[in-house]
Amino acid sequence: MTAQRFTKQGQVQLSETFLVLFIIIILLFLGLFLYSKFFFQSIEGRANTLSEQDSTVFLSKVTGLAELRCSDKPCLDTAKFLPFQALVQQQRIIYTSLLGTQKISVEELYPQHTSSTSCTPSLYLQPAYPGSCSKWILYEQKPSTVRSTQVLSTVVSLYYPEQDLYTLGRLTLEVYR
Amino acid sequence: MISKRGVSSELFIWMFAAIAGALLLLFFILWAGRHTETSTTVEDIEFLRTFEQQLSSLSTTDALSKTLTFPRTLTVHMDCDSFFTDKAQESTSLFLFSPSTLTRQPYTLAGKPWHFPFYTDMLYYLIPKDTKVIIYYEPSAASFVTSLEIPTSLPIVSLPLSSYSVQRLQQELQGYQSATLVFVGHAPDPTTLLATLRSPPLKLMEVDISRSVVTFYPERQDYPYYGEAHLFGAFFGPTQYACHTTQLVERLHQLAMLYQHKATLLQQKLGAGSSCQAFYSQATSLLRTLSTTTDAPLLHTLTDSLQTLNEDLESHDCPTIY
Repeated sequence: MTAQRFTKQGQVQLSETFLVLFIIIILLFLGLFLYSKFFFQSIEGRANTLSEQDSTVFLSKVTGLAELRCSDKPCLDTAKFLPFQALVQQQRIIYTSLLGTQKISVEELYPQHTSSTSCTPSLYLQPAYPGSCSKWILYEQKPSTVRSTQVLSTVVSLYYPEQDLYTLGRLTLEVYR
Repeated sequence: MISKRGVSSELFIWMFAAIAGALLLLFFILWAGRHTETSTTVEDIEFLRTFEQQLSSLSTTDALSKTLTFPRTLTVHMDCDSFFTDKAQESTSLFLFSPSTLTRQPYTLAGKPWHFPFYTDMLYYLIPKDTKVIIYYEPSAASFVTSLEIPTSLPIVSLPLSSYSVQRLQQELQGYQSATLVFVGHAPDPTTLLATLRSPPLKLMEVDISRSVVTFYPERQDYPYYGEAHLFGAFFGPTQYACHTTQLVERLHQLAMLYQHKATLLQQKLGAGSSCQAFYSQATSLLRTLSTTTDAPLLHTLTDSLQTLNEDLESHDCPTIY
């Protein structure tokens, strides 16, 4: 009888120990899980901030890109836009690795145009140019799936070397993620 | 009997607690190690990305200069197309000339646009503080050296070769951590000079302006240089020089292709009756060759011709190529 009581007491003690240990382990793992979750969330947040900073820096970099900028003035040379489109087609791999998945476009703001026609080589050769078109899609590379798009833009001075003319435009960067 | 059972039960609890505790402790040690490693990697990635952003954001200004200090714990290695630490790597398309390893000392970051003959890209120089570059020039190279547009932030001093003496040089270089000696013309016995001047660590090179070639000593390796911004790159980043030279020529090819398209379009736009036609035809032909050749003397000849042609276009009131 006494022996049985001792065994039961021992079993109860053992179960209590297991239970306490089990709860402590569960709590520890829960703590670790929550900590890891917040930690990875903060990493994701930092990565997003860096990507946003990258885009802003890239916007200023595009205005200074040798393929687009004027030789000695702070402006974009419109006579380089169509050649740049052709170059991107010719050297797709190089420019995709350089510019990534985004769309770079330029639109003339002043003087105002009634329609926003995209400039093509045939429109460029028309006597009415630059009045015949007002928009250039300089580069576009979309990823297979677009989760979000960040749009950034800046006002730029546009130079037409054919007429030695300066106008006002907007450079827009659409970064695909 | 009862006592024995009690002992075995207690012993079992202790054994269980010890094993479970050890396993838990091991798990936490491993987890903490992994966590520290992840945190360091994240910090390294963040630093390298920010570093690249700092360089890129300065690319819009033609005369840039900035002082950078690297974190105490970080050692950054510079490759031709990437920056990396032990934990992270960031690829880059920037042309940065620097020591191959960067540690916690302060550095001057300077930049100069590369024109050959048109603007192609920005070249960056990361120079440790207490570094000096001395250019000794022969009388025949005086006009070349004195006409160099050296940014004020670059620690370059130019002296006539007549003022050269080893003793004076030793005095001149006292207190510097590293130095580069550039002889425009012939270097006076490079092997003896390198053996005599051991402190501070010395880099020695010779520039032949007639062939546009820079020779690195003691390796005696010859490399072409294309314009002064590129030549300055040899002074501050000899380890990346060969690789960047290849990349710069590739970049030049891309731009030549772009200008070739531009010249063709301008030619079509201005029509057959325009007096500018002949210039554009000539430019298209020059740019076609420029976009494919890697021959250094030919590149120099082509760029000189293109520059003359561009000036001719300007003097005839025609839209210029660049």
